[in-house]
Amino acid sequence: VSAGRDGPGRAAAPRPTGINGAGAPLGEWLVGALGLVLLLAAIGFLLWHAMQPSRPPSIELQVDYIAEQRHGYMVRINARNDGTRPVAELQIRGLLFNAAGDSDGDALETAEASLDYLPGGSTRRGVLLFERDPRQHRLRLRAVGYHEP
Amino acid sequence: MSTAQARVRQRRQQTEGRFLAGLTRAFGGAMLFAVPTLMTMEVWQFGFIMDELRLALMLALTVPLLAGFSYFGGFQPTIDWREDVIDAFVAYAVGFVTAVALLPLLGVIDTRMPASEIVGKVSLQASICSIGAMLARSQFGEHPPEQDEPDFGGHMFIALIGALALSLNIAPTEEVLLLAHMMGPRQLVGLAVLTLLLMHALMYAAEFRGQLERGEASFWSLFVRSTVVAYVIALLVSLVILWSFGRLEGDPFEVVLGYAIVLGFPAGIGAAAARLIL
Repeated sequence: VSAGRDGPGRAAAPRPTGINGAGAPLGEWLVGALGLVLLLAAIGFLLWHAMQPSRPPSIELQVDYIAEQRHGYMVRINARNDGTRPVAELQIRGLLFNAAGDSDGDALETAEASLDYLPGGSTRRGVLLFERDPRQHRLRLRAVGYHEP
Repeated sequence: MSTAQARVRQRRQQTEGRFLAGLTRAFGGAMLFAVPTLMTMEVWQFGFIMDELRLALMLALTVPLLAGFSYFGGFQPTIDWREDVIDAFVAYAVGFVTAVALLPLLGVIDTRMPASEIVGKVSLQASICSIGAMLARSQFGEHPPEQDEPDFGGHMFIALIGALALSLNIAPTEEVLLLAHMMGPRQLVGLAVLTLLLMHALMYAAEFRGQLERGEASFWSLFVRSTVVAYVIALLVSLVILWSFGRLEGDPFEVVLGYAIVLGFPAGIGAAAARLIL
C-alpha cells in the first residue's frame, strides 16, 4: 500500500533491494508490524477461546428494576447466557401469581418478550409489561425456548 | 552534507510521503469496500455465531491472500516478495483500525460485551476491511506505467480476488439461502448459464483490453480456458465462504449446490470483471 499515480510509481523508482526488504520505508515497517501483532493476537485469542471447555447455553434471568408507567408496570429484565454458545430468538415469559398458585394455569397475568441473539457470556436487556403491579404479586421469570444459530 | 547524502535523504522523504498517501488511500478503500458489511446485521452476528476455529482460519488465510493480491494487483512481479508480505500486514492493520474505530461508533460493540464477542466482531470485519485496503491501490488508480501481463495462474488468482470482493458482502445475508430455496431447479440452471454468459462477455472484454492473444483466441478456447475455470473458482470461493459462516451444516448436496449457484452469480461476475476493474 504505497506509491501513487502522481508520484513516481514503485516500478519506476528503483529501490535498493538489500536484505530485510530495505526498500520499504520505516512507516510501512511499523504499520506492517502492528498489523502482524494484531493478526496474531486475534488468531491467538480465538484459538485460546476455542480450546476453553464449551458449555451449552444456560439462561439466567434477573429483574433489573420495576417501574410504574401510565398504563401499567414495566419490569426490566437482564438475560445472561452463562454458556459458551449463542442462542437466537430467546423467548422470555414473566408470570404473576397470587401467594397460592404456582403452575402456569394459575397465573394472574403473563407477559412475553423475545431477544434476537444472546451470545455466550453476554447480557442483554428486555422489558416485560404488566397491568398489575408485580411488586404486589409473586413474579416468576422463565426462558421458554430459543434456537441454536 | 554532500549532495549524494542529500539525494538519499530526499528520496527517503519522498518514499515516506508516498507511504502516508498510500495509507490514507488504504483507509479510503477499507471504508469504501467494507461499509456495506460494517452496516449489515448478519456480519456482526457472525462475529459471535461463527465457529472460532473457522474464523481463525479465515484470518490466517487473509495474509497470503493479501500478499498474493499485492503481488499480482498491479505491481511487477519482479519486486521483492517481502514487500508484498509487509503490504499485506499494513492492509490488515488498516482494516483492524477501521473496524475498531467504526464498530463502537455504530454501537455494534461496547465494553459490556464479553471479549469473545468483541474480538469475533472486530476480527471478522477487519479481515473484510483489509481486502478493501488492498483493493484501494488498484481501485483508486494505481497502475504502474509498464506492467507485465500476469500468467495464467496470476489471472486466476486475480479472478479469485474479484470473486471474493463481490461475494463477501452478500454471503453473510439470509437472502442467499432464501433465494436458493425460492428458486426451482430450472431457475438455478438458468442462473448458472446466465452467469457463464455474462462472465464470458466480461472475460472477452478483458482479453481484448489486456492484448493477450488478441484476435487469436477462439470462442471455445477462451470459454474453456478462462471463463469455465473462473466460474469454477467462483463456485469454490462461494462454497468456502458459506462453509466458513456455517451455512452448509445439515443440508444435502443438491441444496448446497443451489446456494453455490446463487452466490456464484455475484462471485462469478466479480471473478470475470476483476481484470477490468483491478
